[in-house]
Amino acid sequence: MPEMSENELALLRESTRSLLDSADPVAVPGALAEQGWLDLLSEEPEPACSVLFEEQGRACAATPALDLVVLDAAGPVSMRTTAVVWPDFRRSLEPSSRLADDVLTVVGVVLAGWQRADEYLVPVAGPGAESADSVLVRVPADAVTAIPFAGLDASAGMALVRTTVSREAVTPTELRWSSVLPRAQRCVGHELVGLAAAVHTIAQEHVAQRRQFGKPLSSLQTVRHRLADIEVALAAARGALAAAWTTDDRRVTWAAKSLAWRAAAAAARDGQQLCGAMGFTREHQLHRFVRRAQLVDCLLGPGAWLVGTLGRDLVETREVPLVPALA
Amino acid sequence: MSVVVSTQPVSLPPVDGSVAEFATAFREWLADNAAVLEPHRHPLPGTMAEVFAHEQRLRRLLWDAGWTRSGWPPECGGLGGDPLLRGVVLEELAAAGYSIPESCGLAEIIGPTILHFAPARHGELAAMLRGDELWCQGFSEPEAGSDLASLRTRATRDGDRWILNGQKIWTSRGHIARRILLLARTGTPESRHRGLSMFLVDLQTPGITVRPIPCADGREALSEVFFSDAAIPADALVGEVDGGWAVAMYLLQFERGNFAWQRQAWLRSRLVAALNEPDADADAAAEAVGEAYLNLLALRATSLDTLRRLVAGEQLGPAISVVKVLLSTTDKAVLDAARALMWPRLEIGDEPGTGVWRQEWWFSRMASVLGGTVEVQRDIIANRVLALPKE
Ligand SMILES: Cc1cc2nc3c(=O)[nH]c(=O)nc-3n(C[C@H](O)[C@H](O)[C@H](O)COP(=O)(O)OP(=O)(O)OC[C@H]3O[C@@H](n4cnc5c(N)ncnc54)[C@H](O)[C@@H]3O)c2cc1C
Repeated sequence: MPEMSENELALLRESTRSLLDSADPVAVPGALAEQGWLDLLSEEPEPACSVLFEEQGRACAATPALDLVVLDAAGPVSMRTTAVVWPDFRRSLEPSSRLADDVLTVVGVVLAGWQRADEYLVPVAGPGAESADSVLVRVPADAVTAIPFAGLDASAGMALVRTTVSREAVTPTELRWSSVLPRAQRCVGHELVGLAAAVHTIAQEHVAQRRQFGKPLSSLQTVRHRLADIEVALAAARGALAAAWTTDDRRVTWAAKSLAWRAAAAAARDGQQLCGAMGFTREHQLHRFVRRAQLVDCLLGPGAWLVGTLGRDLVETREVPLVPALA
Repeated sequence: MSVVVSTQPVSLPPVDGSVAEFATAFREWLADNAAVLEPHRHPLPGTMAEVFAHEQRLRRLLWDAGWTRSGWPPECGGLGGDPLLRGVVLEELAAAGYSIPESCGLAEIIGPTILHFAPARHGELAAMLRGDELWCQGFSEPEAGSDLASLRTRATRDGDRWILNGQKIWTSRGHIARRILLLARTGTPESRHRGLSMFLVDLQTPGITVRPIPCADGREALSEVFFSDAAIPADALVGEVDGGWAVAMYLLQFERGNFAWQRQAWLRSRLVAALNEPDADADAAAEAVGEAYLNLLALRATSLDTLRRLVAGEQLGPAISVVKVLLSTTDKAVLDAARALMWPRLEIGDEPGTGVWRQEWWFSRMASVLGGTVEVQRDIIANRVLALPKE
C-alpha cells in the first residue's frame, strides 16, 4: 500500500479542517463523499480516519461521520439516507439489538442527523455468545422510534432507540460486526485524541496569557509539568492508534482506545484545573470539549472498562501482542 | 574468558536482505541452538561480576555467529547492514524467552557515540561490542545530578597527556568495567556546558580507584569513581576540546531512544514470564495487567518510531523526552503487574526465582531517575516541545 507523504497528509488535514469549519455537521458525510473521501477510505483507511476524526474532535463537531466507515463497507447504501444504530452504552462489545422469535429488538444510539435517515443499519447479536456470529441488518426508518436525549451534551444531537420490529421488515447484509467494530473503535479513539488536543491547546493559551504573582502562570513548574504530561499522553495515544491500524489483533485496538480516553480524561481534568474558575463557565469554550469527550468515550466500550477486559484476555492467553512489528 | 561451547556452524547472517528475512533467519538459528542457549533463558541471581561473566557467554555465541555484528559497520568488527537489525536481534532474543544481557544496554548507548565521534577508537569499540570488555558512563557527580552542566571533575592538559582529578558517582557497573566514558571540565569553573570535554578512559590507569555502592536491590549495581592525578593520553579525547556537551547530548538520544526500544522488548518478555508464573492470580491482577499492556503498547509504538528515525540519521531533539517519560511509567507498570500476578510472593518469597523478580522490581522504581529524571524530561518537554513562556 503506498503511504501518503507528509505533504499529502497536511493537505488532507487542511481540507478536512475547512470542511468541518464551513459545513453543517450533519451534512459532513455527504460532503466528504462528494470529495471522494470514500475512495480514500478504501485505499488508505488509516490516514482517512485518523485525520477526519482527530479534526472532528478538535472542532468539537457533532457529525455522523462514524456511520460512514460502516456504510462504506455496506456497499451500495446511500450515506445520506442510512444511519447506524450503534450499541447503547454498556460494558460490553456485543451488539445490544437481538433477534428472537421473529422479532428484532432494536436497542442502541443514533448519531446527529438521524432524522434524515430513511433506513437504519443495525448490528444484531448472533445466536452464540461470541461476537463472531453478529451481523448487521437493514431496517426501514419508519419502523423504528428514536428518542432524542440531552444528557451531559445536548449539542451532540444523539438519540436512543428502543423498538421491536417484525422479521419481515428486516433485510440481512453480508456485514459482520467483528469487521466493523475495531475500525469504528479506532475512529472514536482518534476523535478523543482530537478533543484532548483541543483542550491542551486551550489550556496552554490560557496559562501563557493569564498572569498571577506578577508573571504568567506558564512560568510555574507545576503548571508546565501538567501540560507536559498531557503531551506525553497524546503521543502515547497517537502511537497506539497508529499501531492498531497495522494489526487484526483486537486487543491492540482496545488498548489504543483506552489510551485515547486517558489522554482526553487527563486533558479535561488538568486543562480545567489550569483554567481556574473560567474553565467552568459557559462563556468559556472548554466545557464543550469536556462534555463531548465524556460522551464519546461511552461508545463501543468505555476506555476505563477496556483496561480490565484487555487484562483478563492477556491473563487467559498468557501472551502479549508484538505490535507494531519491527520487520 | 574461553568459550567452550559452540553453536551449529552456519553461514553469516543475511545482513543485505530485508529486515524480515533477517528476523526469520535469526529465529531459525535460535531454534536450532536452543540446547546451547538454554542457560540464558532466565535472568540469573548473583553479583554483577557473576552476571556479566554469564552474559559474556551468550554475547560471544551471538557475536561469533554474526548476529550481534549485524547492523554495525566493519570498522568496529561489524558485518554492516541496516542498523535496525540490531533492534531485531534484541527483540527476537527476548521474544524467544531469552535474557537480553544487561551489558547490551550500554553497547547501544555508547556504541553509536564512539562510532560518530572517535574514529580512532573503533578497534576498542569492537572489544566492547563483542562482550570482552564492559564499559561504563561517567557523567553524574555528587554535586551534579540533574544539573549535569555544573560538574567539576577536571581534565587539565599537560603536554601530550590529560591529568584527571575529581569524582564520579552512580556509575553503573563501574567496578567491573574496563573503560569509562568520562565527561570532565576543561574550561573555567563557571563555563557550564561550554567548558566540558568527553574522554574514553582506561579504568586501570594509575590514580583511578573505583568503589562499588551496595544498592537496595541487593546488588552492587552502581559505583563511585575517584580520580587523583590520573594521567591519560591525549588521544583519549572523544570529539572536540570543550565539545563534550554535544557528545553527551548525542549520546542521550540513544540512552532515551535505542535503550527504550531494548527495554520495551525486555519488559514485554517479563510480562509474558509473569503471566506464566505457576500460581499467577489471574482475576485479581487483570486490571494491573491491562495497565501494563497500555504502557507497553505506547512505549513500543513511540520508541519504534524514534528507533527508525535514529537509524535514518535524524537528530531527534527534545521529543525523545516523551519516550523517556513513557519508559519510566512502563517499567513500573509492568513490574507492578508482575507483583500483582504473584502476590504476595514478592513480599515473602525466599526462593531464588523470586529474588530476581524483586531485583527487577527495584530496578523499575529507579527507571524514573536514571538517564535524567522524569521531572527533568517534563521540563524539557515544557521548554522545548511546548515552548511555554516563562516571562
Ligand atoms: C540505576 C541508576 C543508574 C545510573 N547510572 C548512571 C551511570 O551509569 N552514569 C551516570 O553518570 N549516572 C548514572 N545515574 C545517575 C542519574 O543520571 C542521576 O541519578 C540523575 O540524573 C538524577 O540525579 P540525582 O540522583 O543527583 O538527583 P537530583 O538531581 O538531586 O534530584 C533529586 C530529585 O529532585 C528532582 N529535581 C531535580 N532538579 C529538579 C528541577 N529542576 N525541577 C524539578 N525537580 C527537580 C529530581 O527529578 C529528583 O526527583 C544512574 C542512576 C540510577 C538510579
